[in-house]
Amino acid sequence: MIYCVEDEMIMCDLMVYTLNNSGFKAKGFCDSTEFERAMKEELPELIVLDVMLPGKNGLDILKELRQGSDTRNIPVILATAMGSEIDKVQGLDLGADSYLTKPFGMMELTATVRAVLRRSSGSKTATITQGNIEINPDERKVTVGGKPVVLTFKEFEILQMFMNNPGIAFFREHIIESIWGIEYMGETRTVDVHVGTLRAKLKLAGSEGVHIRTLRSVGYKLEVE
Amino acid sequence: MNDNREKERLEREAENARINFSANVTHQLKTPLHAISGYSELIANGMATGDDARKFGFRIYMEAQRTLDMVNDILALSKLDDSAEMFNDEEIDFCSFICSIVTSFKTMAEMKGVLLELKTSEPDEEKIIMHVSSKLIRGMTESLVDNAIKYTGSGGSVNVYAGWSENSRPVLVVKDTGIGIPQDEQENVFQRFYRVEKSASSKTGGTGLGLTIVKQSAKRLGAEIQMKSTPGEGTEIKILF
Repeated sequence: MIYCVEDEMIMCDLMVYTLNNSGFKAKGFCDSTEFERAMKEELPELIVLDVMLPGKNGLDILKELRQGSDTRNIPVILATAMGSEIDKVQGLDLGADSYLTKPFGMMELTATVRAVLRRSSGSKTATITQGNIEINPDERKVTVGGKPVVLTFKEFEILQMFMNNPGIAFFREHIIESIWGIEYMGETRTVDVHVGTLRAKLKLAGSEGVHIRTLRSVGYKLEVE
Repeated sequence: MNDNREKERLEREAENARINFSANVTHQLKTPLHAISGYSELIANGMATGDDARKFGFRIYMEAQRTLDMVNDILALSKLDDSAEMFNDEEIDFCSFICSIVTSFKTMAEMKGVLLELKTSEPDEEKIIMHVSSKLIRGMTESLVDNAIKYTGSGGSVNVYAGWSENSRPVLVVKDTGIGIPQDEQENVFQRFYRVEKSASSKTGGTGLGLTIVKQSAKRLGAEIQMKSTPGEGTEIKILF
């Protein structure tokens, strides 16, 4: 279970919907009172916590979580406003595991939640499997039908993004931003080249049950049979 | 020497107010834009389809409207704040003018299930002809009626009176049976972006600038604002000219 604490109800609903449709179970709360009531009934695996909350703010809630014997190890992702360096620094110093800067994308939210859960579970071999392709992000290994496949750094990053989000359409521009970083000024044709070589390597290795489909004028998505 | 220091102090205060306002505006505009971006992302990438996509499309529309309303209010407020901005006076029949503005809110009130009624001064009383900026009167009246309808639940009512007050001053009264304002918040509600209850105003779509526009307009017109409110019973705002 993931708890999202965000006072703007429309954003809270959006985050909960995204997480519920990304393989997680999530609940949302608009203030510290509702959140604390829920914490008494069930402790979550992870908390996404807005800093600017009415009444008790996110940093105060984080401080209390880190003082509680049963809550001190629950991973926390802080949602901070752009430009509030002090919130990020204070938050990380107070024990936040990661942060998201508003306005963050929904795929960025799910990727951050996955990364933090993976780290906090201490799992050393957290593999993702789709069809006969298996990817191990911690060891940076890919196998197809049990046989290792050598990918470049960017090919691995692209495959990991697709494997984590089967059925989700990714715009070329989004892939550029996520994999190359927002400063990259190259053309989106770069994405086509890398996806092309990735496809070829997976096909050569005998991939089954999963395809990287081209969406005309949009981008790509991973389809699982 | 003292005059110069005072002038510098006022300039510094004005500059700080401008900086705070800009920071506030940025923050207030970002939330609806973040929501629009997020919901569109889910429709575009195929996560939200069918009924969910339709529901999210409506939310995107509502947030876009909210952003547009906020931009309009910010522009109106900028003009009110700029002492160099001139608002031309014209001759208006006060009661007829208010009547035309209130009539334009009938549909909005009906859709919400709120009864909107207007009373003006008696026919045998002297007509109220004012030499005043119709733009300022319109802005103020629209903000008051819009707020009153937004914060009144279905089955409630908004009553508007335009006419002579007991002490023979032109008066505009907007009274609603809405959620009301707690005593300790009543001074704050005229501040920019102040919301008594954020979750309530998120549902109503208020910009947080309506009453600020009323206050600044009244200041420009030399009018007096009186407010009475009881939580759970409603609010009455009186503008005495």
